[in-house]
Amino acid sequence: MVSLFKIIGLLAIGVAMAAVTLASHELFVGTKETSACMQCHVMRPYGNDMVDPESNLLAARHYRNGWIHEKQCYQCHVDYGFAGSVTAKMDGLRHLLRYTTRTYTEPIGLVHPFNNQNCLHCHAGTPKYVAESMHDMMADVIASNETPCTSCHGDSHPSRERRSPGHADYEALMRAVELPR
Amino acid sequence: MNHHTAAVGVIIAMLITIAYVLDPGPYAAFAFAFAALPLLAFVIVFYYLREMIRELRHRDVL
Repeated sequence: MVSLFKIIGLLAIGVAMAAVTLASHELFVGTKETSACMQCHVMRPYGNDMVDPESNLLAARHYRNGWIHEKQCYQCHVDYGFAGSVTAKMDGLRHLLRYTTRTYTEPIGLVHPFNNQNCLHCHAGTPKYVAESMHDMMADVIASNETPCTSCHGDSHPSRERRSPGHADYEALMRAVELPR
Repeated sequence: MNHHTAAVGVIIAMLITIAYVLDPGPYAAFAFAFAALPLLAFVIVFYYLREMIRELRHRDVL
């Protein structure tokens, strides 16, 4: 007959395995959610501007018009393909390390230039994109990241000045983010 | 690594893991990614696998 001790032991192992599975899922999948990004206060300016119906910056326009339905940060900032996912995870761990050890300075910024391919993944080949002759004329510099999409289409997020402590907009941008969806 | 050290390591890793599951924030995520997971991996590799190999060798399987 199986002793009570063994049953408790097996239950404990089951609970432990479930906890590790859940935690790993949260770490590697749950962190794709926009709400996960907004848990770090340095990300609040990006989130607050994105959900601001008055903002005309690129991220806000994409959000307001529902062009990206979910995981907005992840969809735009993670390079596509397997290598993109791996790089994103490595970047995420680096962000965790820098944030929790407070080895960063405000306002934060991108380490690498934004990859135009992340925009082109959705926009390239669409009738609106093809109809704009400038896209064809600048195809090489767009593909090589020499000219970022934002140089014509405007900034995606609030400028470094607005995100810097002391700026008039800083307090408003740093309030807790309320994501409606 | 003896039984006691391995057990303490697993218990610490599990406490961090459960804390992260219950309240997933950046600090709990950091503790889970940089402490709990490496600790669990270390214990599994250096204790349980070693014990398993020793047992299999003892039974002349390996």
